[in-house]
Amino acid sequence: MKPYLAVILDSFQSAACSRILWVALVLITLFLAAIAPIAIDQVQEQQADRSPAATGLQLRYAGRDFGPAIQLPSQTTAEFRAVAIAWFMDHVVDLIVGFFGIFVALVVSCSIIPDTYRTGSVELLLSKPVSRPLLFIAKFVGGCAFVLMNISYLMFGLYAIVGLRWGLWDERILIAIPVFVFYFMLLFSVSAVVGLFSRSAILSLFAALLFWGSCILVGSSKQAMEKLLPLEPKADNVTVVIESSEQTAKSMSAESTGDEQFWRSVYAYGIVPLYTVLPKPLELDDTVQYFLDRRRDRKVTDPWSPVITSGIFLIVMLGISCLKSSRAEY
Amino acid sequence: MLAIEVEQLSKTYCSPLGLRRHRALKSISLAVEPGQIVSLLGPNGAGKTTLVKILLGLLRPSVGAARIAGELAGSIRSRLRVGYLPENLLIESHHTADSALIYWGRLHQLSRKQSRSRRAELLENVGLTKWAYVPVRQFSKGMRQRLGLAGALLHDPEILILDEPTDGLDPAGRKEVRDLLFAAKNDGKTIFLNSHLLQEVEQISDQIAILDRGELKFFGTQSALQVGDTLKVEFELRGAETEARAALDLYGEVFWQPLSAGHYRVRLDLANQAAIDQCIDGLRAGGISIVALKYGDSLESAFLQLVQPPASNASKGDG
Repeated sequence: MKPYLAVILDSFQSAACSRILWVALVLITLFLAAIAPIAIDQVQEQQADRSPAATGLQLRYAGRDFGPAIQLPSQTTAEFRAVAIAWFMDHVVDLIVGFFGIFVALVVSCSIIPDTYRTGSVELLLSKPVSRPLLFIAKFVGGCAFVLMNISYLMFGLYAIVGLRWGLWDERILIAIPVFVFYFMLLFSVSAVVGLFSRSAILSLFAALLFWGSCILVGSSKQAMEKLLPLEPKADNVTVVIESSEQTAKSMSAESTGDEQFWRSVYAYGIVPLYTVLPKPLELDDTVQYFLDRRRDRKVTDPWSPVITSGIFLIVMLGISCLKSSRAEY
Repeated sequence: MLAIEVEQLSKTYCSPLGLRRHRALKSISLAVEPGQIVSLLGPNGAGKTTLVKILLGLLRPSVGAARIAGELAGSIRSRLRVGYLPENLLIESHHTADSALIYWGRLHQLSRKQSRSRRAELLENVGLTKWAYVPVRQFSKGMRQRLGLAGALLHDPEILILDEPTDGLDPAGRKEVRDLLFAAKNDGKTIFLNSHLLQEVEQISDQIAILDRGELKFFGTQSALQVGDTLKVEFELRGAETEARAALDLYGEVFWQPLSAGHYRVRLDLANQAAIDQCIDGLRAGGISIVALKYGDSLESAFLQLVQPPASNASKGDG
């Protein structure tokens, strides 16, 4: 295993020498430093008519009050505070890590595979006593290890800030580390395959971003269509309808306009098959939270589906890469 | 056991749709004994790089087989026994000479300690001791070549395959590399060299292989590299040119090259040793001093006679 550990370490060092990495680390540090002074404190305010003190929420930044406290009944105050923190985690963290963080990680890592297989570099590497597929896997793991380090830095920083400043030690933040690394691996596998075939860092980054956009587009389209299109009558209901009256069934089909039929076909024959085959990076977080018993309310119909399809996709991508790298002539 | 063995090796490149085919190697066979320095020569597109890449397992032969120290070329066992220096070596910019050697050593399953113990000696030999901790992005091409050579020697391989090892080096650097290669040869290593510098090849090679358009035109020692039935003789002479011309007039076409006043080089074809003796007697009788006498073809003239002029529409430019 010694040569492959050396390759992992080397690709890690290669990424670590990138200027973009240092920019990203500085930005992460600035982000953590910027949110650290935010506090949402529960305050008690003495009423003018000497009635019992009312509770409220006071937004503070670096110890300074931001506007007046929001007056709320004591029970509602605690709930509101929890909702505010959850909103912050869902929107700010998901946006920062899920979009900006993954984007930076892809930019930093997109050159790892093309650089390895460049003329002048690949000949020397493949003249060493190493297996070609394992060399590729080692490079891939090296890139992922590097991203794991950065996401861990950000998440542990957030975890400490949210715990120390807001008194909420939320393990969801730490569970986001493997989720986002897996999320990154899915996109990096596309970047790696394209990088292996084209030996171009720009092309591999572009392909990963295009693929990412496609996954989001397909997932969003599916959700939007499910909301906009009237639900298909369930099979047993149709049976009942047919049995009761043929005329009723005819009137049901007449209700569907031509446009609706078209979009229903697009949904059934385009969006659903694509959604089934493509990995579901956006749904992975929901799955993890579902199994943590946190978001049963989110109506996750098939919690395993994102994990299974994403896992199969990753295996297929790595399989193609290993096959290509072992059969290619340089 | 032979160090390098190539049997009826052919390689055909196909275009992606299989519409165009190019035969880069045509039934090449050669055998290299251990401890020899063998140079591979040939014009652009001759198939030299293809042959080297097959020996390293970077390309698969279409027909035939190649073996390195008895192991199938390209197998992990064969690669353990080979040190390789590519022509345009790229070293990732985050490395220093020191970290690159340690990395390459680990790829050859050497420990950090083993790599470090070899490193100092190798960097000294290639003249990079002072540059050990400088990032390679600051290195010139010649310095990268030296580092690559140190890397090829790091795991003490039996066979060195070097692609243009002196490319980009100044004359002093070339001398250092030549000395290194001689030292490696004295250690019993086999060196397979791909070079276009004929003068250098002439100085260091035990055997020469000449490839042209995928065919092996010659494989053997330099002394055996003689084209035609006559002996090629080169004299360096001092004295009156008229006297020298009169003495050599009997021997047909003579190539004259003036070096300075009363000092010239002549080349001529003679039938046998008796004719050479007779020629020397004639020159001495005319009062001409024979400063030097060289037998055989110069490598350059032999090479040019063996290799056909390049086709105007050469289809593949591998070296």
